[in-house]
Amino acid sequence: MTEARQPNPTVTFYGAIPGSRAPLRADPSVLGTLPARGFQYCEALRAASSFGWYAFPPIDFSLLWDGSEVIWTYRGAKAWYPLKSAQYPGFSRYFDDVAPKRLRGFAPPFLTSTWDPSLIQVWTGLFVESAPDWSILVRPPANLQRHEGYHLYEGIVESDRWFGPLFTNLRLVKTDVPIHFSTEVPLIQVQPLHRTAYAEEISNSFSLAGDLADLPADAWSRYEQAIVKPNVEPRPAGAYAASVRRRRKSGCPVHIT
Amino acid sequence: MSSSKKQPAVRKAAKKIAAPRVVRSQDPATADSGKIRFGSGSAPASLRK
Repeated sequence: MTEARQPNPTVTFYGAIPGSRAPLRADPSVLGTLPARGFQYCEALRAASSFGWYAFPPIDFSLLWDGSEVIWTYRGAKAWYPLKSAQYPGFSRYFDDVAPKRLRGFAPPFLTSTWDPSLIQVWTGLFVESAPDWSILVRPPANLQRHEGYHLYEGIVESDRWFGPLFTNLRLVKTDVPIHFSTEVPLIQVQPLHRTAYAEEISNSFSLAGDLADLPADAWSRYEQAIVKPNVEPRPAGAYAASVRRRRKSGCPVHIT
Repeated sequence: MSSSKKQPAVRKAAKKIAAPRVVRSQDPATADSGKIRFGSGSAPASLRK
C-alpha cells in the first residue's frame, strides 16, 4: 500500500494487510463504467460518483450460500470452507508480529458470519479515523452495477471517536450461486459527513407545500429559469454541468474566505 | 429443385460444472480465535448460530 500523507486530512486510512489495494479517490466515471453521455453532461451523476473514496476487498474471495450455511474460498485456497469467522490468510501471525505485546491474539477477523447466516461482515483490511466532528458514511459504491446476489448495507460511523476496522455488512440473497469479490472492484464507498449534516435537527427540519397552487412566485421564476428557458432557447448541452464546475473552481464551498 | 433443408443444429452437451470441494475442517491459514468481534458480528452469542 503506497503512502499518501496530507496535513490535517479529513479522513485517514491505515492499511493493515500487506499488499492489499490502497483506497482510491472515488471516480466521476465510476472506473470507466458510466455511459459517456452521463459522464460528460450529467454533473449530478459525476458529483455523486466521485464523492469520497473507494475501498476494495483485500483479497479475491467467493461466498456461496445454500440457504442454511455459507461456504467460502479465496484466491490460493484449495477448497471451500464453512464460514463462521475467518482471518485474512496468514494475517493473525503478522498481526502478532507487529502489534504491541498486550494486543497479540486480538487480530480482527476478515469475514464473520453473524447471528443470521446470510448476513456477512467483511473487513476491508483498513483501519480508519476522521478529523473531529467528521463521520464517515460507508455505503455501496455509487452508480456501480453490482452482483444481484447480495445486498450491501449502509452505515454512518463516528470515526473521530471510534477507531477500528473499516468494514461493511452484506446480505446474501441468492442461494446456490457463488458470488465473487475481486480486489479490482470497489467493495464500498466511504464518504465524509460533517456531523452537522445529519444532525437530528437537520433531518427534522423540512416543510411541505402540498399543492401546486401553493408554489410561491419565486419558485415559479426558478422553474422558468432552470427548466423552461433551456427548453425554449438554444443552449449548449451540459450548461448546468458547466455552471456547477465554474462555481466549484471559484472557491471551496466549505472554506469561504 | 433441390431442397436445401437445413440440418438442425446439434446442441453440445452442457459442460458439467464441478461441485465445489467443501472441506469441513478449518483452514489453518484463516483460523480465527473468535476473540475479536465488532459491529453486528458482536451481537450476543445467543443470537449467533
